[in-house]
Amino acid sequence: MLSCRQVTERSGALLDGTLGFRERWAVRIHIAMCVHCRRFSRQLRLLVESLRRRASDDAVPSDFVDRVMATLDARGPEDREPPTQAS
Amino acid sequence: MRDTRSVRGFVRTGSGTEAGADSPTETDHAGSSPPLAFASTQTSADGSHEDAFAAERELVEALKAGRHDAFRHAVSRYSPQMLARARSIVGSANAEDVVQETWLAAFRQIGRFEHRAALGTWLQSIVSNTAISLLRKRAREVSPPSGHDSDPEADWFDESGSWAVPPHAWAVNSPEDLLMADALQDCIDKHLLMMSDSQREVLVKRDIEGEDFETICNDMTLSASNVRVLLHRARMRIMRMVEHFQDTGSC
Repeated sequence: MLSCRQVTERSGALLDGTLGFRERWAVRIHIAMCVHCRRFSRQLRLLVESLRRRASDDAVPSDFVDRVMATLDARGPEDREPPTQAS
Repeated sequence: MRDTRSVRGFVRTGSGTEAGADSPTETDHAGSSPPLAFASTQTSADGSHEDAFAAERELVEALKAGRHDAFRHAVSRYSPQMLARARSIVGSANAEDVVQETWLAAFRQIGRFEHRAALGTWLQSIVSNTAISLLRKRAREVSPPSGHDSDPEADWFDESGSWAVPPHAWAVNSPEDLLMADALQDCIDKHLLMMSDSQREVLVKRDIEGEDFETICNDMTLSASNVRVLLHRARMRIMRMVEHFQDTGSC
């Protein structure tokens, strides 16, 4: 039987799908019986899902394109690296 | 006669006398130059893959030629997704700087782009590298480099491996709640800076960008088990901070 510490160490791998069959079941059985590990595992999943969704905010300032172009306009041809191959 | 003028790093195409090619309010496809297919790459996404592929090739060739209209098109098309990626790694305050840096790098390096990946993918990889470098630089400024690799969950358990300090139930119950909590997101940004460079890089690549383990191992030249240990420690560090935040409202 896995200890709570061992389950905690494997709960990320359970989330990532990188645990083997036996370990996966050992972790799941422990989680089914242990309220603390169940809570830990649920909250870890919550955290990881929220990290992945941080990138969904898509507001772009209206003048952003103009500002980037102004920066690029200030660069000269000498700032550009030559191609690696003739085309 | 067709006039092709270079303004600093850019080439602008147009009919010269009619278009006023150097005016900031010019029409990019002025005069006799027909609009190129890249200008409709967004609509061609509904059409065939071949159309989209050809349009991207044409866009890249125009970028390599240093065409101003091509850069403006690319900057407006790709910046939203680049800003989203940058925000997810460095937070809102520094995301625009990261994307500006990325466009400068793209401007410099586009000549070396060889279509091994889609243009958008190439740009996103520059965003990630630029953002991770910025975090590394800021981490040097804000926190001492000691104690990074200590075991963040060491005091949670007793000697038998049972919970000594069991986790508290968080007040947030969904990823949306967690994302809406601005103070908590600021704390995540802060704690990203307090990790070791390798923990941070693994966490960003895996949990924020959703990269697969094989790609991360290859990018960082680390073994799969090393990557898993670094990821576990980085996640535990953030878990510990969120736990503390839930209790005290600060980090």
